[in-house]
Amino acid sequence: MRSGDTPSRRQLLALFSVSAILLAHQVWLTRMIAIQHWYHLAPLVIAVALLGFGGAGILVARQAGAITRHRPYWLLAPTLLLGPGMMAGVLLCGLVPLNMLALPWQSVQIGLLAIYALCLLPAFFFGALFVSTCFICWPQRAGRVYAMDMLGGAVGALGILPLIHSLGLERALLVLSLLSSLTGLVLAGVRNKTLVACGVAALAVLAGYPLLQLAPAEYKAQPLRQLERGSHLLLQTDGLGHRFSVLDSPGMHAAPGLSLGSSASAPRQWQWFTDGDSPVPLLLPPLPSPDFYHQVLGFAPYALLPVPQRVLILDIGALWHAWIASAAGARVVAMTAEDRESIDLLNRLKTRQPAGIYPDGMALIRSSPRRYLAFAPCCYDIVMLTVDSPEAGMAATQENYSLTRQGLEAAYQKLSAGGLLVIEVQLHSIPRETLKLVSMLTDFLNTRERPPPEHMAIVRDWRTAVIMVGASALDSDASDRLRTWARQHQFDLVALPGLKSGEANRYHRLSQDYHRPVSALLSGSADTGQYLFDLSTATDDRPFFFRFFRWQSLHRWLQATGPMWRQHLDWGYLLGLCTLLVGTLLATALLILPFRLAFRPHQHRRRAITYFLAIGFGFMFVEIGLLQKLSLLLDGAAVSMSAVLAAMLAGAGTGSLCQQHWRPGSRVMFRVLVVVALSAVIAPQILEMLFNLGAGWSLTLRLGHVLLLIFLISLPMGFALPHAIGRLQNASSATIAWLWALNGFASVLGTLGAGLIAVHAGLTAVMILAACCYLGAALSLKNLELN
Amino acid sequence: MNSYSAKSWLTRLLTALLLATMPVTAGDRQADRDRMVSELSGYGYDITLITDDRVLSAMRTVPRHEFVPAYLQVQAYADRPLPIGHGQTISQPYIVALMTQLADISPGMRVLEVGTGSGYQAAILARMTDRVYTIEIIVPLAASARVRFRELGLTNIIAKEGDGYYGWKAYAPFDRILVTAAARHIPPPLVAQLKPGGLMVIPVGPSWGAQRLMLVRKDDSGVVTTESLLPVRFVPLVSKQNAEW
Repeated sequence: MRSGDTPSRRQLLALFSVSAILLAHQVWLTRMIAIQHWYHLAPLVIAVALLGFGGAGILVARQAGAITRHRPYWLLAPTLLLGPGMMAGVLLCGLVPLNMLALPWQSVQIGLLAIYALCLLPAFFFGALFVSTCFICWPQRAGRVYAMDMLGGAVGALGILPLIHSLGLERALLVLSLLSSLTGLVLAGVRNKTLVACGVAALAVLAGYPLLQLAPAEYKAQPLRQLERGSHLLLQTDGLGHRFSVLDSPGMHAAPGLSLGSSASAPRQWQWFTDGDSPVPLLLPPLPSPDFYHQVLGFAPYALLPVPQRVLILDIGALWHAWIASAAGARVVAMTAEDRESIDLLNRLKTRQPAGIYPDGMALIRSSPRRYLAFAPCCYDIVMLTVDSPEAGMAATQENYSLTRQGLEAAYQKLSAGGLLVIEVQLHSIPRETLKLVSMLTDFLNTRERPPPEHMAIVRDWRTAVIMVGASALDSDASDRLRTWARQHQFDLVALPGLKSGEANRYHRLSQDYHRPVSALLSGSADTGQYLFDLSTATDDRPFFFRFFRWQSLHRWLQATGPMWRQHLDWGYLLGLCTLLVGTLLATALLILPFRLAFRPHQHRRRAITYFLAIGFGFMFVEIGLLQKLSLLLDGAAVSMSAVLAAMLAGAGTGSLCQQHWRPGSRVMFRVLVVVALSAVIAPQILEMLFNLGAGWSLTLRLGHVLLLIFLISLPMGFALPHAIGRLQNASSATIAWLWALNGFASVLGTLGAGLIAVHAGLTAVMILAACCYLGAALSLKNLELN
Repeated sequence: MNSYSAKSWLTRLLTALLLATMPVTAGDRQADRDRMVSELSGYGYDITLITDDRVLSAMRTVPRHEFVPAYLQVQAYADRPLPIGHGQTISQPYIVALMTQLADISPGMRVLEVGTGSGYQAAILARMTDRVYTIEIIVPLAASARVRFRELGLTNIIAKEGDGYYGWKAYAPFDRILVTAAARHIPPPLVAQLKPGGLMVIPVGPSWGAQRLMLVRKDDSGVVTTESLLPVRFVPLVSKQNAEW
């Protein structure tokens, strides 16, 4: 068969299947990384996948002759190796003793991180080898090949979450791995040799499966608890976004904020872990008396507002506060949960412990906090948020729409007259989260012409602060009640109308007192621009509350912390930056240099280079921008990632097919690219309108609208690459390979860079940059042909 | 080979490769300890400055390398935390020194340590007082620490495996309590087992990350207060007129 032949249906089906497996595996790995280590390492998967593609591209480009001569083998071998590669990679990752917390201290951890990433590489390499082989075998059918690749990827991205949800993570990987053997069978047909080869591949997968047990790394909370005598796992379940585990151990004694003066011990409890961390106490009978809850810091709002009727808690992890609200006599206690699995899990546990787990009559609402605020009925006497920032600033580049100015305003608007917005925040060694929140709250109280010092009260112990913002000014009776309660239970007041300096920092003395900086922020006399941390307001366009790092302060920071700088530095932001730098170096080494040195493509022109770089950057900017924006409407990153990947790949794939049939000229193509640029600019506004309109819709309905919208946006984007490839028919294969490499290089940098651009300049800026890229591509269209 | 031992071997192999070029010192490492102690004595500021000769002297005599896994012994006297298995660490020497200094131990005091870990902190305490009681909830760590105490002849350390939340009622009350892992509240049983006039020292924050130390004081009348100390010199928020708040 010559290289110009049309691919058969079997071959196209195999390509569809391999692309689906690859994308599904990519999403699956983000879940694995979240369980074993941190979700924040997820960009690692994308980088590894792209490197796999780079490596395979180099091999295919170098062996193009051999591949076209022995095409059936080059197609079958990677297909069969894909499954065992996936299984082996995951098994090896589980053996790597990576400790992310020790990274700043132990250089060996950098090596372990590299090994961890390398374990994942073979699967992507084999998958990419198959896809690249298809492209090199059927260059005249690049549009169709590209379309099958994209559409397969879309199905994989969309299908993996329901698969994980129904089968669990381990079995989902088994299905994906076996599917690659089945694909081999489809590809080569049922013949003796093929049957043996596919059987061997399937057996290799099956042999690895019994060893597969995803477990959190040793430094996470759950494995530590499991080492205690008498500890046992009660249940474990995989949701769309997380793995949930419930443990019973006699050594679990959470009683957050219990007063120093209390003689009561922590109540009997189980603990609920999300991805092996963030334990939430689930109280069991015998339950403490209502008096017990009076002695915990979380009771502070009820000291200000003694008989609340309706309480809304915007975090399922704050079950502890539901018990406090119930003990305080709240008639209605409602709590939001981002996923149905959390609610199902709590209800299942409640049937085993009817008197415990959560207070009787509490309403569990399936919604993200922010989305619920958009459609929740008015009004609540208390609306509560909790802020629990990960160590080492690891959430610096993670979007959070509850802790933006718009998020806080939405919560404030749901308050009844005299109601309280309550935010519980963990204190860090050097004040930052609390000060940023006070700064943000002060800003929006000022815009409403409500004097901040008269509307805000803050009380704390040694570990946690409770910030309370009144819908109306706090009266002297309320202030007196809080004063008396705080004194009785030895909690410290940080802010309260009429509070004097001498009344603060008495029972839990901190070397960095909060009262004075908070007073300065409330009165508007603090100079936040000179502070060690970035205290600027997070907004829906820049929803990165946990980004505190400032370059201007780095020198002062190192001076202040001296030899302890490693422990105190915000590694999250720097890790993002390092990933970009390492990604750039690797992409240069693996994509740019090999093509540049090995093939010496002389026939390139500036326009072609600009075009391929621009569409590479543009596509990834749109993808990352939409992904971050949509986590607001789709209740979290996992569903958002799956939906955006699926819709964009399906849209681009369909666009590619349309291009193949229609073959538009350069004038039409110019208009198509301008439409893409305009779509990128208006997409955030459309999504905002969709949020306002559909916040209360079911997930299916929201997902349907989002998929349709992104499909429509990405459909014309799918024209760009096949159009250019078609225009480069006369160029040498080395030049085409070089331009592909440039496109891949731009994709790597675009993926890793878009997040950082969003952190600095906002999501709108990312989308505007995407529009500029597509406009740049449109302007490069003229004379794109190479001779 | 189970997953843990496979991981452990991989770590050892990698660390051994990494450290292959570094000089390995044999013997009791007195010179290394002296260097570590001289570095520690210049650390910190104000109350977190290490100045207590008794603490420094104890740290000069306790062989820290005996408390870390063999493959990490080369790094035993560097001022950094080290893994001891099961997700736990041996604290960095500065934090151990600071905790011990803040505890203000005198001979004859009855000291309870919650969270034995490797046993290094207990060994330092044992050099400064007559009796140290230590509890560890993680089963394998408790067992290995007991063996280590026996091998090093630390007979004045009484160790048990158990839940430190409830303290050790049989030997209470204690003059000093050191808790090596902070919970989200200070356990009331520990407060109850602290003598009037007693002190409790607790590091707050992750063992690999930014830790502050908390002192819990119980005055003679039984009133309890806490004090958090940040071992870094930090410039606070300033006003628009450049005055510090």
